[in-house]
Order: sequence, then structure tokens, then C-alpha cells
Amino acid sequence: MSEFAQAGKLQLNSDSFQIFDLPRVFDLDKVLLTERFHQLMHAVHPDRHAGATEVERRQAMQWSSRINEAYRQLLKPLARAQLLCEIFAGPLDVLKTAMPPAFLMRQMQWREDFEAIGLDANRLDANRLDQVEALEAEVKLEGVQITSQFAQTSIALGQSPSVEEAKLAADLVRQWMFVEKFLDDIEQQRMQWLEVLPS
Amino acid sequence: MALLQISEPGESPDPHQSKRAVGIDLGTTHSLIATVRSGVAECLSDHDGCVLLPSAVQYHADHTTSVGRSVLERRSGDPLNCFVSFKRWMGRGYKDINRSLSPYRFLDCEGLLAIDSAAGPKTAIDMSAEVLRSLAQRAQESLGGDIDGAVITVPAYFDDAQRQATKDAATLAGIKVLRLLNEPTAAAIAYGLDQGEEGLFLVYDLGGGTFDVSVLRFSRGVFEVLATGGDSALGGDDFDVLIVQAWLKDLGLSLDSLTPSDRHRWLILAREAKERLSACESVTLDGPLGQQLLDRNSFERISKPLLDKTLIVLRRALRDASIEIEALQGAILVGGATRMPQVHRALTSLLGCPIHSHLDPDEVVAMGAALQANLLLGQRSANDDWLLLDVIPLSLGIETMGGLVEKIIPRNTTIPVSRSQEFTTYKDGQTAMALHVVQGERELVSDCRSLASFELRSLPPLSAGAARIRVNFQVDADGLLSVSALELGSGVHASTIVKPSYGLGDEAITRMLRDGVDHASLDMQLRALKEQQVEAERMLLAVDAALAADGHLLTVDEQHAIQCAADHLRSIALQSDHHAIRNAIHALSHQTDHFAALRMNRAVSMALSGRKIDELA
Repeated sequence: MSEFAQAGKLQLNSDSFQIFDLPRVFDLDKVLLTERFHQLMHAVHPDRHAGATEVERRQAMQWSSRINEAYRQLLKPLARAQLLCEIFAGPLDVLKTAMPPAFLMRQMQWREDFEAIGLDANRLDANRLDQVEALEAEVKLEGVQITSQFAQTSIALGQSPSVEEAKLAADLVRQWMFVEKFLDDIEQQRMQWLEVLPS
Repeated sequence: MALLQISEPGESPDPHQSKRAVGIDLGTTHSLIATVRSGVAECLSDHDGCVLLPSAVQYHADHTTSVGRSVLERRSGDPLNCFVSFKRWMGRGYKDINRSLSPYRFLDCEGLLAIDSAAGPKTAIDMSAEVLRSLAQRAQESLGGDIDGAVITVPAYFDDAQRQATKDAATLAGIKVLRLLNEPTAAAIAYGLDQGEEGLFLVYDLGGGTFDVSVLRFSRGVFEVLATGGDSALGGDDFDVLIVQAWLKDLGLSLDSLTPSDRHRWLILAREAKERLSACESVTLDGPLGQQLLDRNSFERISKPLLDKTLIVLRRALRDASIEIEALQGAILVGGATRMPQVHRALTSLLGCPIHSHLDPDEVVAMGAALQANLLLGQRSANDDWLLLDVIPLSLGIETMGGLVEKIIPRNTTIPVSRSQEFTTYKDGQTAMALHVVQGERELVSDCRSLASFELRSLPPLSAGAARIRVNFQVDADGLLSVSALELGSGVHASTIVKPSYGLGDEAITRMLRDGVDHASLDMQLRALKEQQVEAERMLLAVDAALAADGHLLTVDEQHAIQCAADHLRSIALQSDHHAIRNAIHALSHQTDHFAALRMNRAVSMALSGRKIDELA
């Protein structure tokens, strides 16, 4: 256990890495993360304090809410990257960054391609589904590339970044947010198709 | 006597003093109560040896009440005072209920739904409380004393209003609720402990009036719900209706043309046919108008749309959990309606994993609830310990300007959960702000379920956008929401425990998720329009205020140009072309660039004499 946790300094507003007593790096041990999540929840979940006083139960609820949030933040790669940027470089929207034009162009192209495939579920056929899958694969690949680039940044390695490095990391996170949003939109569309397609 | 008592939190300090913990399955058609004896969960039976208590209540003129089987027998003779399937009315308002097909005399009690009876107006909460009282009585006799605490199950897809109503019913019945537990999760507890298996499982729970599906991961004493889905108005009862409709169609009749007691007779007949078809290929029954035939093939054909509906919900839950079908270790069948052979067959062919149904599908939920109640009262044995991590079934959000929903907690978030979002005022000097809390997947407030409204008053009068109001949503382990709001500058506080309010039609909640997807593109359009209109309004207010305050910084021509652009936007904003509105907004903001720069220069000059805490910190 780290000195920090040992000293009993953990508070509801400690950062998620501190709460899980994990190093502030992008590449983290997911098995260990989930194991600690379960350990922490075993200790704080309201069900473990069903017989306690109201104040204690309230504390249990607040802490388990915080731990659930911290777990989500550390488990999801993008949320984890955003958190690291915030810790090492401050709030994202303060770092004024510009999207690389090439990325913006690709992004717009995806949107156009997606719309061109056609959103009308009633005219759906296997060909269109294949096209969407192909597009999704392309976007996912971009996501993987951004992720691996981010993983090389000083922020991802847990080192205090120079101004340039901070900007680079923030740029990548922003592009990554675009990618995730687009994948979400595709998923929404797929949910709609689930309604009309035979199994 | 020990000098020190060392015990874990929640554990009884005295091991000899055993507490009476029960689990209650408050069902649409019937309800059960279970307890744990020597580490084994078992349902308690009544004097006749029956564990199922029909969820039926009769009110008499002398204010006495009957519950259970006897009510079903007397129902045809006293249809207006005998109530069944009232679980479907839990947490629903007067406007939510389709009253046309029902014989009951519905009343509007300040939006809450009540039904007139010989003993006066009664709500679904009252009726549920009667069922709970009857079950508690059974437990008291069987266990030799008052119950110390109960875990009551609810459909996983129940919204906040329905959960709150269930808790209220228990309060009315004088039962201490340890926890509201989702029905599929309760079933998983009963199975998980029974089998000691680890891995990913799916629970398919088709009850009398509700359908739930949950995807869970079991690992070393942790039950983690990854996603849940459902339809709170789809159940075995709907299969009965289809059978009656098919029979009546052959006779040239329709369900609407029948009297309430005739309709009731037909439905009982249909249920009997459905239940007997689980064991044989065809049945012949004596109906009100002669013999009625039904064979398994035609039943499966007419009910296929309902079954397909459940499979769509199932596939969506798997996607929400990011789980491929192949990753499932098994599926668990819960609810009496899963006895229909076509359910088993459809799941086997879709999932291709072992289907577990060896525990009685009617009893398994109450059994799991009893195990959880026992755990919560600290009566677990050393090797018998587990932790439940459940989720909320429907997104929670707040109404923003223009009737749009800002989602604050998305569906399938693990609970307890707390999330905050900051909002601001849109008018100069605004001193009050109304907060409207809604639940559902759609983007427009009018398409989601309204949970509560409250107002934050005495805000400091600041310029538009300067107040910072933080709205916090806290969902507890029961899935119940409480909302609080705080103005960060002044510390003005407002909070509410969310109580049922009035919202949409009853079918609405079941449609909400599906519609959220169906109408996605229409919603997007409407949303875009509303957003632009809101933006236009906000902008016009800002420009007017700025001109009034600092117009003297501009030349007459400059003022005139801004005024023209503002007037143009004002007229365009009333129309429904969001592109045009956006263009007009751009034009106005372009026109005010210079003005804004002048104002900002002045503000910065003035700020040098003061200090901005944000920037210093």
C-alpha cells in the first residue's frame, strides 16, 4: 500500500488513481483494477452497512458512488486518458488546441460516408450493413492508432509534460473523443436496425 | 459473558439471537414470501399448503379486506370491488392509464391514480400493501414472531416512480424494507449460490405482467449486473389475451364487446389452455360458448410477435453489456411464463448455451430475496458471503430550455451513483429556476417519464449565464433517486426526494427505449430546431441587454447594423428551419464581434483593479 493510502488521506475528492492506489499511468493492470474495485466495494457498499446508523449509511452510499465513478473512469481508456490529462495538464478546454486538418477531413468524410449509406431502416440490406461494418472498422482502426499514440506521451507514462507535450496529449484526446462519438452514433443506428432485422 | 463483542458491521453481535429475515416477490399475478432455514431458502406456504398467494384484493363495504384465492373465486360476482394485476398501476398517474377497457371507476387524486371501491378510493399502493400484510402474517405465524426485515423484489425495468410506490406499499404494511432488489438479480442469487458457477450469465424473466432481462457476471462472491433491459408491460397475461382474441375471431366476436365478467371468464380459460399446452400438444376446453380448441402450433404462431419482442430486448441488453452471445456461460429462466416450451426452444437456438430452469421459476425470485435479506441482517455463515452490484435500467436527466433532456446518468450505470452537472441562468437578474427531473431514453422531455419538479428560489440576481447551479443526482442501492441543487456563488440550496409525478401514458415507459432509437433522426431534427431557438433567444436577450447598457460605445451606424441583424434573427427564430436560424445567429454574432471586443476591453481594464479568483487559483 502506498504511503498516501496508508496515511489515511483518502477523501471523496481524492483522484481516482489515488482511490485505487494505482500509479498514475495510462497502461494499468485491469485485473488488478477490478480486483481492487471488488475489494473497495466489499468494504463500502451500503449492503455491507445495512445495520449501521443513517450517517454511516449515507457515508457508505457516497463512498460507493465515488468508487463506482472512479472505476468507470479508470476502466474506460478514453475516460482514463482524459483524467490523466486533467491531472497533469489541467482541464482540457483550457488547453487551446487545434485539430490537425487531415484528421478533420477524415472525420467529415466518415460522416458523409455514413449518411450516404442511408439511414432508412426499411430499405436496409446486407450490402449496406457490410458498408457500415467496413466504415466502423476503419474508424476503430483510427481509434486504435490514436490510443497507441497517446500511450507514448509523457502524460500517459505518468511524467509531468512540457507545454508542447501537454498540447500533443490533449490533441490526441480530442481526436479520440470524436472517434468515440462517431462509434456511438453507429451503435445507436445499429440498435435501431435490431428492431427491424430478423434474427 | 464476554468483555468485548467483536463483530463485523451489520452482523448480529449475538449469534444465538436469530433474526426473522424474509424475501418477498410482489408479483403481478401472484406473490410469495420466503425465508432461510439452516442456510436453505424456502418459500412459506399458507394453511392449505400453497406457496403462491394470488395478488388479488377485495374491498368490502364494512372496510374489511380479503386477499388471495377467495377473491378470485368471488370476482365474477363483485367485479368492481375485486382487484387483480394492480402491479401494472404502481407509480402511475390518472392520465397514464387506459381506462376505456376497464370496468373500474378510476379517480384522479391530484394526478395520482385511485379506484373507487365499496370501502372508498384505493390506490395500487393500498392494494399492494394488503398483499404484503397477508404475506407478513403468514411469515409471522410460520416463524413465530414479527419479521425483522424484508427484501422486496421489483422488475429490473421498474422506473423510479414504480420503485418508490413499492417501497410506500411496504411502509403502509408496516414492513421494514432492507432493500429493493431487482427480480432477475434475486433469481441469479438463488442460482449462483446453488451452483457455484462463475462467468457470464443471462437471466430471462417473463412474469405475469412484466419482462426483464439482465446480463450478469459472477466472480468470487460478486454478482455484477452489466446491463438490464425489459418491458414493464409485457408478460404472460398478454399471451392469454392473444389466445382469447384468436378464439373470439373464429366466433365473429371481439374482446371489447364482452362484459367485464365474460372477458374475465375467457381469460381464465385461455390461461388454462396455455398452461396445459406446456405439457401436451393440443387441448379442448369447455368455454362459455361451447368447446374451445387450441393446439401448440397455432398458439406458437399467434404468440410469436410477443416472443420476438423479448428477443429484441435481450439482444439489446447484450449489446449494452458489450457481450457477444458466444461469451455466455448459461441462461437462467425465471417467471411462470417461461414454462411455455417455445421460450426454452427460442433461447436455446439463439444463445446456444445451457439453459437453466431446474429451480421453480415461480419461486426462485422470492428465494433469492430471502438469501439477500438474511445476508443484510448479518446472518451469513463464514463461507456464504457475496456482494451485489446492480444498475439503473433507464437514463435519468433534467429538462433544459426548449423541452430537451440533458441526460445526467445514463442507463446501465452501476449504483449507487452520484453525478453532478452545472446549469446557468439565461436571463439577467433571474432569481428562480425550475428543475424538472425525467427518466427515459428519448431526447424530448414530453417523451420521457416525469419524475419530479422543484424550484430553486432566491438566486442572487446576476447577469445571464453568471449564476452557476450545480444539480446533483444521487441514486441509492435501491435504485431510488434524490436530487439536490446548489447555487455555487450564493450557496442557495434546494433538494427533493423524488416522488411520483404525472407523466406519460402507461405504454410510454415500455416504448421509451425503443422509441429513443426509432425516432432518433426525427428527434435529432426537433432537437436541432429547439437548440437553435433556445440559442437564438439566449443571444437576443444578451444583445438587447448589452445594447441597453453599453450601446454608447458604438456609433449610430454600428448600433443600427446590430439592431437589423437582431431583428432578422427575431423573425427567423419563429420559423422551423434550424439552418436558417443558425445562419441568422452567425450573422448576428459576426455583427457583434466588434461590440463584444469593445465591451471586453473595457471589462479587462476594470478587472485590473479587482481580481478574478479563478485565474489566480
